Amino acid sequence: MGWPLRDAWRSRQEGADGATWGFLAAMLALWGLTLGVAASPEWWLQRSHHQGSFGVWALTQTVPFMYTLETDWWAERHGPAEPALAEECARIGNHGLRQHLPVGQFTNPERRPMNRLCGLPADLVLESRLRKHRVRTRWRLEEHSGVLVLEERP
Amino acid sequence: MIEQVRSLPVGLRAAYVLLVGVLATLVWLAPTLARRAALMVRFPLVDGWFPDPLQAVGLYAGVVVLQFAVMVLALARPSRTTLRLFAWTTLGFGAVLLVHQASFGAASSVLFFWTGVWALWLTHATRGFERGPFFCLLLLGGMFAWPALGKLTPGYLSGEVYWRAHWNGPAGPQGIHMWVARVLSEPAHERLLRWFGPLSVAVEGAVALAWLLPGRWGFGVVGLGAVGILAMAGPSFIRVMGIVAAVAASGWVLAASEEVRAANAENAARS
Repeated sequence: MGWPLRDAWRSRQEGADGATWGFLAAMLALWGLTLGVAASPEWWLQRSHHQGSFGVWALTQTVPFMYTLETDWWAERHGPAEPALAEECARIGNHGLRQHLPVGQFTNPERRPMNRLCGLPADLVLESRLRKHRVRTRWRLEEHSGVLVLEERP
Repeated sequence: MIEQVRSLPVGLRAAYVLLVGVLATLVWLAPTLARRAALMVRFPLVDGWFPDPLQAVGLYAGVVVLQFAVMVLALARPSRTTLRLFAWTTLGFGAVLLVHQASFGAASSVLFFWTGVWALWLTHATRGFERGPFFCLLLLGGMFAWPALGKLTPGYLSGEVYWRAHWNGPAGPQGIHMWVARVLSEPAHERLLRWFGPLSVAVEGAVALAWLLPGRWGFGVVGLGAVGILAMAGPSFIRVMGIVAAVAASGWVLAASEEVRAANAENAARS
C-alpha cells in the first residue's frame, strides 16, 4: 500500500467522473467550513442561531462537532447560562418532568460544565433539547395542552 | 451471500462493508433514536425557528424507519441499485437528523451525513478507485479536524476538562476510569487524565492529517485514534466511532483490493 495522495495524483490522467467531482466539491465544503468556522467562530455563530437565519445555522450543522463550539462559545461570552437553565428546568420540573427525567442532575450547576464540554449522556436528553433551543429563551407552557411554546429567542 | 458480494465491482464491495458498519452502529443507536421520538410525543415543543416539517415527529420516525428498511434490504440483496439506494437514504437520513428539532446536536447525525456523501461516491463512481484511500482519509480527516481545532482551548490543553469530566465531577469517575481508579492513586490518575488533554489534540490532529501519510500508516493512525478515544470516553462513543470505523474499513477494502493495486502499479509505471 503506497501513499494515497501520490496514488490519487497519478490517477489524474484518466480524468474524473461526475461522482468524483461531486465528492471533491463536498470535501472542499467540509474542510472549508471547518477551517472557516474555526478561524472566526463568533462571525459564524452570530449569523446562525443567535441573530441569524435557519439556513446559515443548518449550514454550520454540517461541521462535525459544531455543537461543542456553540455551547462553549455561548457560555464564555455571555456568562454562565446555568441560572437561566436551572430556572427553566425547575419550572418544567414543577410541571411533572421531574418524575421522568433526572432533573436534579442538570439543575446542579456543578454538573453543567461537564455536560457542556463532553456531550450528553442519553438520559439527559431534555437538557440537550433545551440546549439546542438555546438556554436563553422564554418558554410558555400551555396549561391546557401541556405544550411548551417558544416566546422569545435572543 | 459472500460470493454475491465478492462478485461486485470494487466500489460496491467497499460500500457493502460500509453498510455493515453503519447498520451495526445504527442498531446500537436505535434505543436512543426511539427515546428521542418518544420524548417529542410526550413533551412537544413549539419553536418557530424550525420549519414545520422539521418539528414533526413523523418525519423523524419516517427517516429512521426508511433507513433501517433500506439497509436491511441492501444487506440481504446487495446490488448496484440497493447500495445506491443505501447511499442516498444515508445522506437524507443524516441531513434530516442534522437539522431536525429532535436531533439534539448529536455528533452521530453529522457523521451519518458525511458517510452518505462517501457512500454516494463509492456507489456512483465509474473509475479512478485508486483515489479511494486518499478520499477516505480526507473525509475522515474532515471529521476529526474540528474536534482537534475545537480543543485548542486552555481547558482542554491543560487536561482540566478531562479531569473534571471523567473523574472529578459530581457523578464521580466515569467509564473506564472506574477501573483505572482501582489501580492508580488519585494524584497519579489526575496526572494521567491531565496528559490526555494535549494527547487528545495530538491524536485527533494526527487523524485529521492522516491523508498525508502512507496508506498503511494513515489507516493505522485512524484506527489507533478511534480505539484510544473509545477507551477514554467509554461505550457512549460507539455511536461516533462505529461510523468512523465503518468509513475506514471501506477505505481499507479499496486500498487492499487487487483492482486498485493493479491500477496503482500501472499508473506508477506510466509516470
